[in-house]
Amino acid sequence: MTAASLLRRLMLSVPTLFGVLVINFVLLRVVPGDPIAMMIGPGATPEDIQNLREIYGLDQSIFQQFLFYIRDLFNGNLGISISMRQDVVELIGGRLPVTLELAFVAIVIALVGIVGFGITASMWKGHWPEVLIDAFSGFVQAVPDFLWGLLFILIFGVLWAFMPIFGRMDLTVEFDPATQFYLFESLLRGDFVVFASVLQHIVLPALSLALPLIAVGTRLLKSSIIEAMAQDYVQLARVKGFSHFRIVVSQAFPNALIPTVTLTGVQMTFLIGGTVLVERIFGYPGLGNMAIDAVINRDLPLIQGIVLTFAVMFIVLNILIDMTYAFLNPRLRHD
Amino acid sequence: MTALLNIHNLHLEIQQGTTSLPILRGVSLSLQPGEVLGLVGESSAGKTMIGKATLGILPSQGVITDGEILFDGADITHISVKARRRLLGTDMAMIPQDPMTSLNPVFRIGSQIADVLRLHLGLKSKEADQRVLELLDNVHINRPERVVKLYPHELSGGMRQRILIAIAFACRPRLIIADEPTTALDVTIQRQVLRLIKELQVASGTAILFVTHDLGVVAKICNRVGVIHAGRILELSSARDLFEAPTHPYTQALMAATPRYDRPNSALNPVPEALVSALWDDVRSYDRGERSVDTGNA
Repeated sequence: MTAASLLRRLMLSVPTLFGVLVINFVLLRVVPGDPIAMMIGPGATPEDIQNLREIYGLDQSIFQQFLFYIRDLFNGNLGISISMRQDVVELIGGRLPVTLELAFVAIVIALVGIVGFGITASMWKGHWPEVLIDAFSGFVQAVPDFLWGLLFILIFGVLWAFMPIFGRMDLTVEFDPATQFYLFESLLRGDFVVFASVLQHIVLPALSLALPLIAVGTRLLKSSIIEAMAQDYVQLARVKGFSHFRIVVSQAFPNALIPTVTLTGVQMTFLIGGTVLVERIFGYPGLGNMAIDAVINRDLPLIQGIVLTFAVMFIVLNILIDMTYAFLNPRLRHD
Repeated sequence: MTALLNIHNLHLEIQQGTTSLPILRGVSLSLQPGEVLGLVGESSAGKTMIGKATLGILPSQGVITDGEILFDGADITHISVKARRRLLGTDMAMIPQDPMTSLNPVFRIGSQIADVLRLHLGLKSKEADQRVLELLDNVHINRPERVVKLYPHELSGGMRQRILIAIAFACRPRLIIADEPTTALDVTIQRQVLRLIKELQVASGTAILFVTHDLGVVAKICNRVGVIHAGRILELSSARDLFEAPTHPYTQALMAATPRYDRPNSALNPVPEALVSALWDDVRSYDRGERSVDTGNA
């Protein structure tokens, strides 16, 4: 992808983001539920409520509130959380790395699974490995990510309790982090005790998120490889004297990646969305977990901030996927 | 001199479930080293299948039910995958029909020629790259050092066919199966590509089994020609004899059916219906005979 087309993509994401802002802002204000009522106890007087409404600007029209919101947004100000009384930007800044790490590990697990299973199934097409992998991916696809989370907690946390099922790391392990990227930071600092603990905590939630993606991706990759195997260039590779393994891996696979990446890319955005429930289930202190609290508390500035962050993550992920796509497909490189 | 390729009484069927469709009905032919043998026939006459059976790249439903294929005196009809791979690329190569789909779209031209050199001749990257430039020069591609860096979609059909010809000749094979290599090209490019194949064939002494439906192509390039219909070779003779004095009525009808560019207004002469039905009656009685022989054996 050239710099010019990247710039064009970024410009195009501006209206998308604006749309997200508008819908999010309006929806939150028309659905029932009053943030002020959630804030103060049942003994509050109408005057108290009115005062708080004025402090948070909730006494103005939706349109005016929106204008103020946009103005503040351009100053890098997402407001103050109603329930936690902290700056929303700071709150999100503290939680976003946690979710990014989780999503990263989940995507890595998913890619390894997709490539491994996809190639294995197409190598032994019509034999038991393909049948087994097909059955596995069909079953996995039918179960949503949060259910896998619950199942893993039941199996590895209760029946054979050898995996941690709550939080981000052992509280007994001493760690004084400079950033919220515990996994990367501990690795870079060579602190393997912390790294092991963080990794142990991240595996089950990441696996829950990765499994549905693995199922969809494996099926796509397998059928794409099988389709590529019927192409003329594969026949020529056979006549060149290449082994079956080499033809699958070095001839069909690079071509099969192109449709797989496109469609799995869409699934990856579901994975980001999936972090909300999975983080909740595993008590993982990420953005999604905070989002649920924010919704329960009708914390409008925080919800808006989190939704905006998720929207930016989706857009960045989509641009990354498009760049990968252009990298994989030489026919798209010159535009 | 022993024949390079000797196909004897080859029977091939497409089998799907319980039904089977005969494709080749006892094909026999032989090819001397350095010879160009043309196989002409209509679509679905089975000519492509002869090439695929020789290379061992039949579709999974294609089953050889009888007969044998000898390469350099050795039976290769049912050899193992490993033994087959020792032949392919080195002793046998192919010029495919469709240059637009026969190159891998995600790899550069240079690497698609170099890979076969590295695999079979054990060349190092540098030597292989050097050899690739020579091979491209041999197929008359200008500025080969620029072309090796291009992807297939950046080249025309004629250019791609030249690349595929370079790949086929890369390891100096003794036999090349050319499966309608000019069919997908337009007429002006066809001539150039045919001339190129002939030139390389003469220079290298490679034998070519040239599959085509175009009698004009056969006349230009082949030493001998087999006329094939419904999986049977009706006539096999030298190219000159075939054109000057075709003996089989089907060959005569095919010759008469060729449109003449110099007489654009003359009526077309399709193969007479009576001849076609007579041929098919013959094929059907042959198939019945086969079946009765089978039951007799069982």
